[in-house]
Amino acid sequence: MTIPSPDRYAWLIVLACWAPLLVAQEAAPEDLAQLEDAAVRAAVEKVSPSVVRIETLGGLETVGRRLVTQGPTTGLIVSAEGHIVSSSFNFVQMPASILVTLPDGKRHPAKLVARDHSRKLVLLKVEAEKPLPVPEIADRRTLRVGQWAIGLGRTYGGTWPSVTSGIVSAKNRIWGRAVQTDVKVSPANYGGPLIDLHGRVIGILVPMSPRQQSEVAGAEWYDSGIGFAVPLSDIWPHLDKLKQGQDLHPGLLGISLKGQNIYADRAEVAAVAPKSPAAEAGLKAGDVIVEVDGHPIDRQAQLKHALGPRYAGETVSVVVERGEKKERHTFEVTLAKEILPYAHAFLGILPRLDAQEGSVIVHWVYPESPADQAGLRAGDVLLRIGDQAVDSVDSAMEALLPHEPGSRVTVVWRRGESQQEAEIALEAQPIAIPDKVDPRRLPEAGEGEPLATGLQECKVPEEPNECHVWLPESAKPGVPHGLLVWLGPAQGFSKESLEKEWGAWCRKRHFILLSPRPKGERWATTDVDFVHKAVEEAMRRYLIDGHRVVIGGRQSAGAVSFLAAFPRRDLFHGVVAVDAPVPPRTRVPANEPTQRLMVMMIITEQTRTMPLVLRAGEALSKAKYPVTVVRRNQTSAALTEKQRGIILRWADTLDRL
Amino acid sequence: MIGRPWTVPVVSRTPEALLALVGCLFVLAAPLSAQTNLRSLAAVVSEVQPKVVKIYGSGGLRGLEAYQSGILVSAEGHVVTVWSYVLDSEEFLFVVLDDGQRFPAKIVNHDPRLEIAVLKIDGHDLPHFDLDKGVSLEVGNGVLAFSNLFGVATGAEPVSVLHGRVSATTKLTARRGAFETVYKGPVYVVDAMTNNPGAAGGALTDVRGRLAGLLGKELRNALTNVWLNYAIPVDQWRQSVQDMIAGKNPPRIANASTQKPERPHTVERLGILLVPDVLAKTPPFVDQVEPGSAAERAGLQPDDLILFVDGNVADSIEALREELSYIDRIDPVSLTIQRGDELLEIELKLTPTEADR
Repeated sequence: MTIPSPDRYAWLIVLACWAPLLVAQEAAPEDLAQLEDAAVRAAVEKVSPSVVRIETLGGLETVGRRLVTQGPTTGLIVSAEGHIVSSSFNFVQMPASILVTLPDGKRHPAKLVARDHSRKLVLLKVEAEKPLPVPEIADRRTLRVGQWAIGLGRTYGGTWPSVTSGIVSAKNRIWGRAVQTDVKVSPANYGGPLIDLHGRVIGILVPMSPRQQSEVAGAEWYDSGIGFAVPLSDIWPHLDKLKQGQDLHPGLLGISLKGQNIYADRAEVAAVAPKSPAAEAGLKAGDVIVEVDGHPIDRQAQLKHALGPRYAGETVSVVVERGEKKERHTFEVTLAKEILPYAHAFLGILPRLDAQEGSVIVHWVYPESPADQAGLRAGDVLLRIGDQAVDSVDSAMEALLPHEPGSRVTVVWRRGESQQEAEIALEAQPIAIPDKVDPRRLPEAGEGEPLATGLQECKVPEEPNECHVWLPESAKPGVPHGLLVWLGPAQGFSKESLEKEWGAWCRKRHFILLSPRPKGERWATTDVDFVHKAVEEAMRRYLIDGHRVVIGGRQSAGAVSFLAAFPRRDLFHGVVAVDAPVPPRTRVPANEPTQRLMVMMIITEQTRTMPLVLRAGEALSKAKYPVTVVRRNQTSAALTEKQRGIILRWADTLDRL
Repeated sequence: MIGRPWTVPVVSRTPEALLALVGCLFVLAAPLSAQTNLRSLAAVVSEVQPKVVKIYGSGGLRGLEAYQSGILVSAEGHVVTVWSYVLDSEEFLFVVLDDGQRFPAKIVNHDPRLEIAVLKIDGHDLPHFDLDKGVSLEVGNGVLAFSNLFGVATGAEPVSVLHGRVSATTKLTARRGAFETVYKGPVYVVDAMTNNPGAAGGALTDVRGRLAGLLGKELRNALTNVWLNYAIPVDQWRQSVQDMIAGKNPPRIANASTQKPERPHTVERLGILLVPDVLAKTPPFVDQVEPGSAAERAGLQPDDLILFVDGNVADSIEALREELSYIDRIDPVSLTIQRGDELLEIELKLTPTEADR
């Protein structure tokens, strides 16, 4: 129940005299419910003329694997001249024709003027003969959790819009972009308004998910009591831009942060993307962001909240603490819609696996690499990269993050008793596989129960998929191994061939082999969850060197490898795709400085999929992932012995610096 | 408008006034009547619950829920419920009241057009809904839904109650194939999750506990792909139920409006040449208009996009052909077309010779 706001207390006092009378004279016990009905209907009546029915004709039938809305949907009039806001969910199928039924009952053809990619809205325009009714807006700042909310839609004809009532459940969801409500939100009212009991518009109902950005994400929560509305008062200041046909995009800063836990870690900048808004403004790696637009930032999640509602083109004020003295600096940053892709820099060193804790020792120097030219050699101990001391492979990678390929950095190393240093011009990560890399030695075994080596079954609870794991004899407690996740065939899997095909190579490069199989006849999107669980389980059971976790497979298995790796680049650092493209409608994510991913594509010449695979390779290269292409000319789709050797040799270099 | 029994002028048309009044009732009347208000909804619920029964029957062997809900409509034990596989065998058909009494049930009759059935149990002085006192609802009205959804209630437990609002009144449209149901009439769409397994046959009432509708079977809307929560208004089935109780047989014919005529219209006969139907869902753009045809007489032009046929969406060539197959050749066809930015209504009519050819 709405508690009247302070300015309405006067009202109350006047009415107070009447109320007891009313109660005494008229009110049967049910009357509260009837008053509710009347109040709801009055609120609906007020907004109803601005709620329009939208029909879309023609276009795609399915988007992804979801059947999209084909029935009528809903929109809200936002200008007297005929501008209408709706949910982009209603337009994913890219309709050939859009028709809007105005309050006069007539259908009018509409044009899609612009899209808001941040809040998943569209702006339509119809030619109206008469000025159209624009609803009153509820100011987002006055919202209270628990207050009445009513959702309206136009899917079911009739003069009344469809009505669903509930409350405002939260004011600040989806990183500040939406309010949450428990009214029933579904394709029946996506694009319609969420209103308050005064008949003012709180926001536009849209499907949303805090974890995904696609147009249809969040639709699986329909009618669940978890619904979202984009506050109209947030869009209002940007309406003119949309009216002019300019799309709105989420505003990007161009930094990546240190650490994996956004709820625990502070916002320390790990890298600043070159030419990004952050770089132009003067932010540097190592800065800790402590304030954005006056909001204090203690954790990364708060930064996400502060930037979530902002559009590209908007300027934010960012305060950072810099250096050991924690000097505060303030920067004005104008957010961008795109960030130039980040490319990882390359020194040319493969580190030893058996180096003592606290040191990074060179195992091998890439011929003609920057390190080679600077005179580094096997056995040298890295001490410093730029202004950061180096005491582990992790810290060395981190020290390289702020440096772009092409930039110069001072590297300090120790050889025997002497210390040497050189200024080295970094290169981009190589895409060629070195002809010969000697296998590395493993450290001594630690304490613990001996591991069962060889082939074992490895089921994941609640998942029907089959899965095996194979351990080389070198797998001992305390000895980290790489992990090759090779997505196996649905049919014709044999334990014998698994070891026969991969055993020798995994043994040579110290890799544990995981062989998950699909639920159905071929690999599908629905298997991705299981793959993640299986890999997490393997990493719990065995000591895995996090830098050398690779997933791959042939054809559909290769495509699923991309699907599994893209959202979990904290887990996977290499993908091997044999005759497999990135699946259609899958967006190649931006290369993340702190989560390196390298790609190897094995492509058979003259196959039907070859053009698709090549195009995927180009898209990945454009996003600055190091893509190694191996072309082969053969009739069999299977991998040869030599190709398996190449895969493991490549996988064994994923911790290169 | 229902729900405005007061006539005090100060409570005029403005929502602020209504709001303030609601607020008043809450703030001021709290010590007086908040208790009564709370009790009253509880009182409504406990008054209605004995009129709603749990029905157990066939289905278990096929892995389907072997239960549903029903409502008592006479003191002698007539129960209205939906016609479903649960009623397949009278041998296994039982009705359990809210107090746990269990009765074997006989099927009196069923109405295939409405997919409802009347059962009879051997009782007397049973609490029941008076069908003549049923109410009709408007969009926005608060409602209560009583049913044994998911079979949660057993034995002496009364059925479950859900609270919501009438979201819309709409028709389960026949032709577009939106819903797979025999009943094509008006329904109340509700914003509570009323139509779950076992709920069919339950009661939808207003907030005073007056019968407004019968909860229908689970139904997925093929257009929006979402589940529908709905009830069939009591006006739609009152007569049929009263006839069945009186011993009359309901009519057995299928709904005539869904049947196709023997000699329907075709695109070709109207003189319309469409663009090649190469893709699924090719929009019906006109490629050419045959000289002298009905299409030419009506002013159809190449590049026109056909959107509606007699008010029904025809968003693909396939859908257009399907829509035309429902219209008899002797009747005119009205088309809504888009020409550039304009929407036009035109009517095509065959001459008797064209229709007979």
